[in-house]
Amino acid sequence: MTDTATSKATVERPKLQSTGSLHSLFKNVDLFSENDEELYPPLQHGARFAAPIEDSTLLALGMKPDELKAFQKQRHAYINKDQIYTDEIKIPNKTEMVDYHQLHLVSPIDQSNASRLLNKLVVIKLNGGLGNSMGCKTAKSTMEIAPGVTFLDMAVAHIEQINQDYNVDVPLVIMNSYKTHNETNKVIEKYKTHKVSIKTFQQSMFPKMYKDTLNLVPKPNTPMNPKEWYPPGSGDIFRSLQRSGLIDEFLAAGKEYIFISNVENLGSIIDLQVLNHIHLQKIEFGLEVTNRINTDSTGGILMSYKDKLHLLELSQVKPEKLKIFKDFKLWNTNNIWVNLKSVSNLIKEDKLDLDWIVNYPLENHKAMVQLETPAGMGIQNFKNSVAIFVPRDRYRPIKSTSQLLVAQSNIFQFDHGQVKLNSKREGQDVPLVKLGEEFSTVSDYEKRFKSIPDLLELDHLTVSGDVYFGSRITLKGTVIIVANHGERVDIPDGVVLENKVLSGTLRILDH
Amino acid sequence: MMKPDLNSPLPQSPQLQAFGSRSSDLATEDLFLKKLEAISQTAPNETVKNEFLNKEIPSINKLFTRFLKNRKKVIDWDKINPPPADMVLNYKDLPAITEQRTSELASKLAVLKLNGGLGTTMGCTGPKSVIEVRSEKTFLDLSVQQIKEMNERYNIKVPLVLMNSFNTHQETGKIIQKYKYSDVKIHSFNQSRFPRILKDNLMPVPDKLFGSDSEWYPPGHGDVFFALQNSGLLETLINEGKEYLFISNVDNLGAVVDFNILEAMDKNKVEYIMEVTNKTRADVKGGTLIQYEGKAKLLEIAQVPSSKVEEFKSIKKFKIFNTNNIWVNLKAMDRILKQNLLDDMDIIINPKVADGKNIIQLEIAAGAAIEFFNNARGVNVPRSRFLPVKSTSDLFIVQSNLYSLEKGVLVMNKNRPFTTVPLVKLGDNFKKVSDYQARIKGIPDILELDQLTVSGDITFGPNMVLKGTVIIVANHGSRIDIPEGSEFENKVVSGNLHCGAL
Repeated sequence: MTDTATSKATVERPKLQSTGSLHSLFKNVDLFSENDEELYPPLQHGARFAAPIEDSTLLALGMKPDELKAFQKQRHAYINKDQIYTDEIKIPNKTEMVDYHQLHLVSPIDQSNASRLLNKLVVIKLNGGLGNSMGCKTAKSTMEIAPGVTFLDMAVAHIEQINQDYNVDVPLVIMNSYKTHNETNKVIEKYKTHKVSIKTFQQSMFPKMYKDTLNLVPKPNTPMNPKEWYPPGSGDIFRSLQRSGLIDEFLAAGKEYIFISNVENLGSIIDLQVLNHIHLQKIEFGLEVTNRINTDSTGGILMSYKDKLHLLELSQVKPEKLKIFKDFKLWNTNNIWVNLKSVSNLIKEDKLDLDWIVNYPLENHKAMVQLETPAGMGIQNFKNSVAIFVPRDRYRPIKSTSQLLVAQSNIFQFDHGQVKLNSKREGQDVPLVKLGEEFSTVSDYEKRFKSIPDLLELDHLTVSGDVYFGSRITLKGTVIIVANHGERVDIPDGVVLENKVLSGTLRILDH
Repeated sequence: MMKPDLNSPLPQSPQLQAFGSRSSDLATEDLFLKKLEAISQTAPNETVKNEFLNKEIPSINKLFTRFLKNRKKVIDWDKINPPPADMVLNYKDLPAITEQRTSELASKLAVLKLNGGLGTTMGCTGPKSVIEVRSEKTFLDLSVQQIKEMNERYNIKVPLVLMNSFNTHQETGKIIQKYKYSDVKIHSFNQSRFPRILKDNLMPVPDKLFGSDSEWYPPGHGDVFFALQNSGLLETLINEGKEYLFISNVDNLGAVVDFNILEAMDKNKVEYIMEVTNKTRADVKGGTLIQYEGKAKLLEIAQVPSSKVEEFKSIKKFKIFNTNNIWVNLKAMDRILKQNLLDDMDIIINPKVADGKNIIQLEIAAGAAIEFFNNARGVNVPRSRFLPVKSTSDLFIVQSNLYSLEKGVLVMNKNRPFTTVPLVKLGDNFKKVSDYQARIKGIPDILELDQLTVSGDITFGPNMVLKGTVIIVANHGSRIDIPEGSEFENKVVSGNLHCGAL
C-alpha cells in the first residue's frame, strides 16, 4: 500500500557533477516540495537518490537481456515518476469510446466473413496468479467453479466450441508466471484430444527491491529464492510473448489479433462483434470497460488525461484524492484486443512504454517494492486506441469466495464453456453477496456450505460470524445472517429464508 | 376426566381410619344428608329445589353411602388374573359382515359421545369437543360427519347422543344448532352434578346450589347409565327400535362405528363389549381388563395397592388396556338398571386440590359396568381405534401428515414406513392450545419421525421435516425460531436463534 511520507526530507543540495545535466538538477529540486495538486504520493527520500544498478549485476542474477532492460527502464521511471495533476483529469469524452450495443451499426458483420476473421485470432489467458486472497496455493485457473469444472476447463471448452462451429483454428495461449508454469503444463495434458491448440509461455521475473534504498533483494551468486522475485503484472505480456517467439510464429501463420483476458473472468468470451470492429476500424488496441458498481473497489478506471485516454489504478492514488473518482464509472475489465503486428512493431522500435503501478509488500517486517504493469496501460501507447463500453456480463471476475458462491449457484448455467444467467431469474442483475472473513478462503468456504443454496430469487446476502449452511437451502430477497461473537449458527437442511434477519446461536448435532 | 392417583390416601389415611365404627359412618351419613338438604334450601325456586331433593340428592347420597361402606375394602390381589383367552376376542378373528347385514345392524344402533370434558389441561375454557383438530373441523364436526356418511351409505338413521356435563351443556346446546340440516338426529342429556367432598371431614364443599361451579364435579363417565335413564332417552331409544349403544370419548378420533364388532356382539348375544388394545410403554397407567372371582372386571391404577403398582404397570402381565370404547345392549342395560345392579360399580377416589382445599371426587368409570352384564367380552382392537387427544402433543400428531381425513375418519398415511405412532413430547410452552398454535406456523412433515422432544421457548417455521429422533432445546431465557423449511433427521438442536422479518 501507499506509504505517505511523514515528513519532508531535508538534504543538502547535491554538488554539481560534471556528468549531470542542468535539467536533471532542476528536476531534483522539484522533488523537495509536495504539491497538493498531485495525484500520487511523493517518493521517499531514499528512492529519490537511489543509485543505479549495473546491468552486469542483473545478468549475474540470471535475468535475460530483454527482462533486464525492461526492469532498468521501469526502475528509472519509478525514480523519475511524472506527476499527474488532478486538474487535468476528466471523465472520458463519448467520442473517445464506442458502445458495445452500437457496434452492429458502426461495424456491421458480414457473416460469410466470420470464419476468416476468427482464423486471424489468438486467445491469451492470463494465468500467472495463485488466488492468494482466496487462500489458494495452486494456480487459480485450476480452481473448481462448478463440480468438476475449472476456469481452464471453461476456456478450453469455449474455444473448442468456436473452432467446431466455425471450422477454424483459434489457438489458446496461456501466460504463466514462474509460480504457475510447472503445474499448468501438467494440467493441460488432459486437453490433448480436444480440438484446441494450446501453447504456454512464461512471463518475466523481476527482483524485489528494498523500499528505503531501491537496492536489490536477491544477492548475486546465491541460489534463486522465489520469495525474492515477483511477476511484473499483465502488461509484461507483450514483451514476454515476443521473447517466447510466439508473436513471429503467429504472424507467420496469418494471425493478426490477440484477445487477452484474465483466466478468472467468466464473462470474457470471444465476441465476433468486437473482433469485427477491431478489424474494420483498424483498431490497434481495444480495452473493454464496463459500468462500475459498488463492489468494484480494486482495479482501474478509465479517464482522460491531457485529452488522451488513460488507465488509472485506484490503488496508486493518495487516499484523500480518491473522492475525485467517485463519479468515474468506467471500470477496466482487462479484456483487451490488440493488433499483433502493432505489438511487434512497437517492441522492435522500443516504444512500448507502459505506465506502472507499485506495491509495497512486507517480507520479514521489511517493506519491498514491486513495480507492476497492467496490460490495459497499453491504451496510452498504441496509436489507434479505443475503449469499448461493454455490458456487465462480459465482466464476471471471481476474486473472492462471495463471487465464487454466486458463480457456483443456480444463478448461472454453464453451456459449452459459457456462463449464462439462468432464464428463470427475473431481471438481469446478479445478487450482492458478502460473506464474512470466516468464509474468505476457499477451503473454509467449502467446509461451511454442505451444498450451494438456491439463490435464484436472492437480492442480497450478508453473512457474518461462525455460520454453517446445511444442504438444500433457499435464499430469497434480502437475507442477513449473523452469528454472535464466539457462537455458531448451523442453518438447517432445507431451510427457506426470504427477507429474513437471522441472528443468535443454533447448533445441530448428530443424535 | 378421571385422573387416578398413584398414592391414594384412602384407606390408609389416619383421619379416615378414625371413622372405624359403623356408628361413626351413620353419623357421617346423616350429617352429609343434612348438608345436602341445606344446599337445597338455596335453590332459586320450588321446582329446582324439588328436583334436587327428589332426584339428585338420592343419587349423591347413594354414592356417598357406598363410598363409606366400601372405602376400607381392598381388592384381593391374589384373586386377580389376566383375562382368559375366551374373554377377549381378537379383532382380526371377528367374522366378516355382509352389506345387507350391516344395514340391518345399523338400524339398531345409536352412537353416544362422552362430551362432559372441558380440556382444561390444554388451556381450554369451553367444551373440548369444539377444539379444531383437523382442517378446521372440531371433534364434534368429525363425529357428526362420520354418522352422516354412514347414514347416507346404508340409508339408515343412526342418532348421535351427546352426554354433556354442567360444564358443557349450555355451550354445546348452541353449537349443535349448526347441524340442524345435517340429517343427523342429535340428542343431548346432562350427566349428574355432584358436590366435591372435603378430604378431612368428608363433608360437601358447596354451601349453595348455584354458588360456584368449581365446588361441583361430574362423577365420571360411569354416570352415563344412570343419566341416560334419568333423562328418559333410554326409553326413547328402545321404543325407536334401537338395541345397541356405542359409547366413546369425544376426543378419541379412532372411535368410529365398526360393524364387525357389532356383528360379533349380536351373533354371540354379548350384552357388553369393552374395546381394549395392546399396552405400550406410554400406556402403563391405563385401566386393564382382568378376571376377578370368575367375572370380567376393569381394574384402574387407583384401585391397586401401593405395593402392587409396579406389577400393575408391567406390560408382561397386563398386556392390554381400556380404550373406553364400549358397546352395550340397551335392553340389558335397562334390565340391569331396574335391578339396581349397577349400584355396585367400583368407585374411584380421585384426590385433588381445588381452590386451595384438599378435596376428593368419587368417580365411576363406564368400563366398571362390565362385571354386571351377562356374557361380557373384551375385544382386542388395533391401535388405530384408540387415537386420544389429551394434550397438544397428541394434537400435533393428529394434525400432521401422518394422517389424512377421509369422510370424517382419520386414516394413517400409507407411506409411513412403520405402523407405530411417533412419540411426541412438546414442552410446557406448548401446553395450551393457543400457545401451541402461536408457536407452530405449520405442522411439520413427520412421516418418518420416531420421537420428538421439544423443550423451552421454541417456534416452528412452516414446511419443516422431522425424521428419526429429533430433540430441540432452548435454554432458559433463550429462544429458538426454527426457520421455514428446516429438515432435521436424528438431530439435537440447541441455541438461541432469532429469525425476524425484514
